[in-house]
Amino acid sequence: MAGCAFATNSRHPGRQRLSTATVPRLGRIVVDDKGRTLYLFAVDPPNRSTCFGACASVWPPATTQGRPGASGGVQPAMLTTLARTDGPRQLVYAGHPLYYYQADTGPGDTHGQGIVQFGASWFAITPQGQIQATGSAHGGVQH
Amino acid sequence: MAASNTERGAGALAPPLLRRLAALLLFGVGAVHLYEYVLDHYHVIPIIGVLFAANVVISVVLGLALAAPPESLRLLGSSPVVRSLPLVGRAPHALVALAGIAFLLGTLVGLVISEQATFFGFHEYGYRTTVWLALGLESAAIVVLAAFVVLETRLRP
Repeated sequence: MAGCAFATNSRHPGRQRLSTATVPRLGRIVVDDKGRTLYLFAVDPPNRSTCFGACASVWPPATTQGRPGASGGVQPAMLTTLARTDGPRQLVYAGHPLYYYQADTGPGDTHGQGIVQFGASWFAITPQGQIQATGSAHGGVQH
Repeated sequence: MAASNTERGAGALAPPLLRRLAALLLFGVGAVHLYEYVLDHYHVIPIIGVLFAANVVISVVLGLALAAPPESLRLLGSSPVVRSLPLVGRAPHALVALAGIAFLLGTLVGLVISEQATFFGFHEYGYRTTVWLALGLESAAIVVLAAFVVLETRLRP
């Protein structure tokens, strides 16, 4: 794992650009412009985040200042944003609000895959906008 | 004369009460950090997780030292380095209280920075109940510890 060991900061994201990357056990998933894995929260309704407070501190929303860009296998038509009361606009892919996981400290880290925190499961997302349910940080997807 | 003795007696009671109250507040600070470390999953956050674990340990150690009877700190008070310190050198509990104030100020500053900006890259999202509780307990503990230090050093000329 490369990258610094600092926590994830999504308070001053600049203009974000999403891309895709192939990671071990999961295959091709959506990542940010630094290769960081992005997750969806299974209980979020379409285009709305339910993760605030302590949840957002541990799973910081992936945010953008300005219109987000798309590259790699990311489909621009699926990429939107939503307004948050606690910071910049949050990235949304195929209706799923996107988040980082604080335990991931560099490209290729997927420690949040399939784990249950704050009452529901967290998953990486495929370029097709679907839940990536083929692997888990703990050896199997938890529901 | 009797009134003066009574006042002095009441004044002498205040430092032990303040010391025990500060110990309770420090245990509270540790409890809030333990809650966030375990139940809010702060243990996964780089650097911040370690700082929260350290906060729990230091809060408990300082709280126990403050709650301990004066005789148990005799070793600390017998240290030539401690005894050479003006005023607090003759009152080991005051030295522990000063350490507590420094520790709590550091904790408070870290919390405020993480709310307003970022602390080791970490941003705290919002002033939720646990954050207000931590701010309240830490501020109260600083006030009580400061009052204890003032009274303790005054009563030990």
